[in-house]
Amino acid sequence: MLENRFLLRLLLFAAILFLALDAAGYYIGTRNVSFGKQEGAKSNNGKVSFSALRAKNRALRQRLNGLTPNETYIVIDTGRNLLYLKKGDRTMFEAVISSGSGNMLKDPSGKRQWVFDTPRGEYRIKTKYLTPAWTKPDWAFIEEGEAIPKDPRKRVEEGVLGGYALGFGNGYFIHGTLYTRLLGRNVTHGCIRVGDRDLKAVYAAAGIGTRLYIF
Amino acid sequence: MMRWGLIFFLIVFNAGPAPAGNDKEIFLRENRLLEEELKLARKQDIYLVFNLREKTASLKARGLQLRKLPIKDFQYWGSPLAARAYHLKRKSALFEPGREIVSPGKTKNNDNFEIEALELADMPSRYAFVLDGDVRISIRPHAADILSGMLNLFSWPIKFLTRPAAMFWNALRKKPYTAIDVVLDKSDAQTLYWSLADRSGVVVYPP
Repeated sequence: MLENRFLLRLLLFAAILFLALDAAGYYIGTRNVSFGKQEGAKSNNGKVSFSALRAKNRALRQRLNGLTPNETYIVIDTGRNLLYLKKGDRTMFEAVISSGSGNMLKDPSGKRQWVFDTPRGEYRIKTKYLTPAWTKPDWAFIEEGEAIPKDPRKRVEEGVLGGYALGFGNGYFIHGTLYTRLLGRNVTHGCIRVGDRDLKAVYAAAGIGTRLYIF
Repeated sequence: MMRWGLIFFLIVFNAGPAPAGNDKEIFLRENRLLEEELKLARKQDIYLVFNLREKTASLKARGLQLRKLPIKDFQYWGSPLAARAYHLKRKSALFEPGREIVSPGKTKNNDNFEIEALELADMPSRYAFVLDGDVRISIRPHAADILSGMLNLFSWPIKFLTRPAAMFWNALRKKPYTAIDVVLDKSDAQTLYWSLADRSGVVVYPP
């Protein structure tokens, strides 16, 4: 009985101590944060007027907002596998795509390796092709366990990229696909696959120099 | 026992929100952050903007907002952040997603293959962005099921112990320490992990 009461007291004490430390933690956490002060700002603070600061703030915000292109641009969400054709803030068109699988391939010789990611960031459409043919790179042969041909003509494969292709540098393209059932999944080697009808619309709307934002 | 109770209540009722700086200082800081963001927008890479006042996290490139994610809740610990852009040193998660290694020859003539890929659903929703300057932004999902609810229930009181201890320890070492705990929807948390690469720029607008 005595031991139980002692244990109960000990538990109660531990619980109160925990709660008190937690509360102290909350106190320290919320009290120590002051966002008003900043490093190296003291010398300027007294000299610059409030209205000048506000005007500068407005100008900086305008500069930032002004970076949104007025012309047509493409946004690609590789996580959700969606392509948006946009103009300013308006979305004109949306399509389901396939983007990079993130898989890795190693050359059996051990000298080279490839990561099949779709690159992220801002790019521009550099080339446009009608009925494109695919010039298979080395990894395509290695992946299929075939020997890499010495004759460049043996690398060319017709009819696998759909009716159109838009290149955005380093061998990456927005192109069509035979595997339409895989649209919406991350299955490509880094290129962006689009269904035939959607690809035609993208090809028509995007010219050379069109901005492409991939995230 | 009464004494302990009194101390507890004194601490709880004394805990209040952080004192706000004056408007001039706020504008000064915000202008500097806007300039930092404009610098990031000169590059082609993706960067992340946490706006704690508006409770949003935005993925951006060249100043263009690619995706805006609502922040459900946040808690800020430690010293105030400098008015500059930070860079992601690494992403830290208990279970980090790994890449599949393709075996040469396996894909040929294989129509019924299973998709082996790194997809958004494979991304963790509970992780931390470790930034330069000893800044840590912990992301956790909003409790949508019993398991995540239980995990959140346990993690909050533990953070109220560990964060102040870390603050105290770093203060003794005279090193800066800042931690921000951010709650997002599960899929939004996964999106951030997916989209942000190492060395990406991060700007945090204070509340």
